[in-house]
Amino acid sequence: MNFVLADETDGGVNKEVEIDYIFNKYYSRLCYYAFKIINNQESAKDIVQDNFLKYWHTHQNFSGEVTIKNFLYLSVKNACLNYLRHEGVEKNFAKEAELQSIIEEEKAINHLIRAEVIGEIQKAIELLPNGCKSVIKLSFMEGLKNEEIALHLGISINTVKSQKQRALQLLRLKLDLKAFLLLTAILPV
Amino acid sequence: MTQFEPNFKQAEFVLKFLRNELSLLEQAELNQWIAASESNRALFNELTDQKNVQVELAIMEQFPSSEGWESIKANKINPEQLKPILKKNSATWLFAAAAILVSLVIGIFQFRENPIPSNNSLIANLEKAKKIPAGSNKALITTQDGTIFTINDSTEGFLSKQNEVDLLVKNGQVIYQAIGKNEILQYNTISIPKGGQYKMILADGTKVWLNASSSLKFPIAFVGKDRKVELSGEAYFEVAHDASKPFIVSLLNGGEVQAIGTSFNVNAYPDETDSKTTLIEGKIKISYNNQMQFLTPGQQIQINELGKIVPQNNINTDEVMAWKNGKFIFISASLNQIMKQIERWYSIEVSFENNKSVDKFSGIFNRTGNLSEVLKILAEGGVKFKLDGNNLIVY
Repeated sequence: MNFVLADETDGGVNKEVEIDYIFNKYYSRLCYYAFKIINNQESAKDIVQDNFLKYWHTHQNFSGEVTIKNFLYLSVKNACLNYLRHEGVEKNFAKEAELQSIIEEEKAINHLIRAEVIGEIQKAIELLPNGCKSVIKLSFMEGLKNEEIALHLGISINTVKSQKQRALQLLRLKLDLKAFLLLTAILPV
Repeated sequence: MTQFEPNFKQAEFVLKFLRNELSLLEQAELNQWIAASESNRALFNELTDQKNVQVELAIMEQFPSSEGWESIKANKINPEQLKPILKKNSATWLFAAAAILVSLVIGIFQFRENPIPSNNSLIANLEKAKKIPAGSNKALITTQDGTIFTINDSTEGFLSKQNEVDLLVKNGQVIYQAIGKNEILQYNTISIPKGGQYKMILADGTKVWLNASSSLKFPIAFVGKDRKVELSGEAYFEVAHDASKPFIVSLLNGGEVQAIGTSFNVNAYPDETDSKTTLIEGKIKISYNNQMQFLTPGQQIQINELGKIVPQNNINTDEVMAWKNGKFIFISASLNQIMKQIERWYSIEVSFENNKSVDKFSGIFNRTGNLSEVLKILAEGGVKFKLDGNNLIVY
């Protein structure tokens, strides 16, 4: 998706579109990133939501997606490391928590790369047209069989098969070769 | 350059690799990054591994942006200030995981090489143990109005009708059968005493095998958006497929196992420190105290006494499933772990006279024989004991 963020006019409509775009694109992966560091689902969501608000309140200072992305990952990471230290103080093992936060900081770079790669693959699947997207999702989910997908969506088995084919063709454009093999291997056509 | 820019670039290269879009120069740069550290190499392998990508995608799917926006709106700000245009994501979905072939590792069964205490007292003790039979099919069912049904090997046929659900026993199985539409959530509890086991089929077709000293509370018909049951003890589930109604097993320690159509074993006895959930087939999610973990077949999750979720790979599922298949299989188990199972199945009390031994034992026993057969094998392994009525004292 090509989206121009660096809009000098910074008008109201563009601002809304930008926030919408950034939130939709980065919310899941930032939560995933935070969860990988602190291993707590609810707190991960909390941290990410707070830091999105921070970005909203100050976002006029940013230009370009990379800068925004950098700000979000950095502030979420710092909040997560603080969370780990704070949790340590509450449980009376501040020293260990400090050490833990240093270890996690080193790992955080890898989590960021993970979040970005997985996030992009997810986006590619999300960008599929609705029909074949739901077929693909159900077929991933518990490895639902064609008949079960047909039953679940109230469509014929032939439609399930053709939607699957279509999804595969579309994904081939976005995730070539190895990734295409990767996706076909998990989709029993 | 911003702080994480090199890392964004590395992520982009990995993606380009997946899309087969790398230029020669970029390929060289990627290779350099991979070679720079062991952790980079591991990360690259992980991100190009199908099974792993599926699991990570499933974790990311737990955080849909629509839900995030709802939560911000509800708790944190006045949405009028921002008015972003957000599209609703479709329902959360999980990825099925490819089956892992867990190789059979039952190999050598070693016992301690202590001399066998072949004296009169052993023979006398084994004689006494012959009178203690193995466990058998036994269960108690308590209905919502307090009626209790006792079920054993000789029970057969129709027992009761609650709302539009028949309760019957057929071929050694308790069966709940919906005969009409049910709208009220009503619970029954099945309890298996010490020295018992039983198999049942719930109203949705889910099969449950219950081990000794276990109980399960469940709705007689699954009304509502999920299928929630509560377990204490050990049970093996073969969940009937229903993607629209997740099957959830709640444990006493607050843990939850969520499945859609899958088979797994849960061992959660209140007298043991850890609860263990082992996935045999399909896909499940374990959540506990805001932590969560997805399991692939052959993996086990333990919730330990410190309240942490600990995943275990390369679990021998034969050992886990032995009880359901009429066997005891121990692989490097402590005497304490072995005796806990003996206690439940033979309905006896075990006490340790001396400090508990730190030795580990491995072996296969038949669960169908009387206590004497098991004790004989343990005696050969050097375990000394005395049987006094239903009390087994281990020295």
